[in-house]
Amino acid sequence: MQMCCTKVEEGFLLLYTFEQEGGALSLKMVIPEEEEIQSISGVYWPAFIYENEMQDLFGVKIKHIVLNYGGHFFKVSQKTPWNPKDTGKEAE
Amino acid sequence: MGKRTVIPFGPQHPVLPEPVHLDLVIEDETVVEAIPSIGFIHRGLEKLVEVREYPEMVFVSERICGICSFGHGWGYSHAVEGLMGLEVPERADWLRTIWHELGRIHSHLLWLGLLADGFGFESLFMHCWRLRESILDILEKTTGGRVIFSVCRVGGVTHDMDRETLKEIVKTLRGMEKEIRELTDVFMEDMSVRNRLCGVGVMSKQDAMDLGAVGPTVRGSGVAQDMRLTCHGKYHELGFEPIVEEAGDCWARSNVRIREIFQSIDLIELAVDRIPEGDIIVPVKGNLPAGEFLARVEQPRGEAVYYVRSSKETKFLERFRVRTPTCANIPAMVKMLQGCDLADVPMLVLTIDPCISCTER
Repeated sequence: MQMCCTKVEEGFLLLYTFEQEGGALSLKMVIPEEEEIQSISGVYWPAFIYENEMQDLFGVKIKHIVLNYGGHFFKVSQKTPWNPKDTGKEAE
Repeated sequence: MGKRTVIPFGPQHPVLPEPVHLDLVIEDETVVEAIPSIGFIHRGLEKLVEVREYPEMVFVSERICGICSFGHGWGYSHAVEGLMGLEVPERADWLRTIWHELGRIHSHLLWLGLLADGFGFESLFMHCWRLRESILDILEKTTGGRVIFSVCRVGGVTHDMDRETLKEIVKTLRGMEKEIRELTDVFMEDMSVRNRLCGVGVMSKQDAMDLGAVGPTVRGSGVAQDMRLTCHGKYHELGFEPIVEEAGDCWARSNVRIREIFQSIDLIELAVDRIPEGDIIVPVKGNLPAGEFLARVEQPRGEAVYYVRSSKETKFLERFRVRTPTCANIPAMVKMLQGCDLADVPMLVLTIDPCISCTER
């Protein structure tokens, strides 16, 4: 149903919410910033949208996204604008 | 196998109300693959929670999109009320329900106009938007705004509607019904319109569920999913049942929206009969507690999910996340495009009622 990323002290808090018989089941995990996680788009194809969004806006490292835009899903002028790294580099 | 060509569709296209790009891979005149690309109007609105106190953030939420504006304000308010454990007055909930249904009517009329414009029926488009003006007049009279109402707040609503105004609204809507029906009969029965819609973009019930489609897109494929059954407003007291069609094509999705217009008129009349007297807002003071809440609202385009999180007692949310219905329907649209004729692409794209402002925020 939705995937949400929040920048927290420990890294990223990821919330996955699924439809469950008229209600919602949410699964939460906290990962360090540098950790690479497995995409779920192989199982839930629509997840590619949310995973690309997390990758572009926060810099979450996700492998094996079925449709990976490589950081160009959102047309932003600054890399990972919701988790700025202060490198002085603009988005390619 | 024919030669493959890639045709760009959008971000600027006559049928697109907002910019979205599709790379259409075609063989002869058949689309074999569609790769969506968004991000042209990303405004980073969710990030504003870092600098806007929670009572002010409702104004930002309303401006995620003009057509779905009230729903976004309600969804945000509902999420924060859930986080704070606030009970909204009864009358406020009823008023929110009435305004939300008025928003649904104007949104569906807008979409019907865009659909007619999409297949070149300009006069039908103009009539749909002419009728929509009557709804916008009601909204302006009751809230001060035609598109962005700014009446929803955390804790209730800021404007009230007296008995005479409510009766006038019902009288206006019932007066419009005959004209709306004349227009919608053209959509449903005119041969040239049916040729463009029937059998186009068929999505099976299983595909609709697997792809996570929402709103009229999923209800047009036979899935009775509607957040008005579960979560918010006074729909449980109005005997609400979702409108469902089985065919799964563009015609079915259009019919769902058309029937929802008439259903919304009925719901508003029932709500006006039952709305109790009382307060319309509770005072909201102080900081947010630590915690999180997920609210779901049935927007005209489908289910919208609002997630709020606060990690400490503060006036600022740590996170505000909106999963909008068009975001959920894009995968379904991509699936429907596979195997369709190039000439049907505009109809298929319009049929999910795309709201790109909502999708990108």
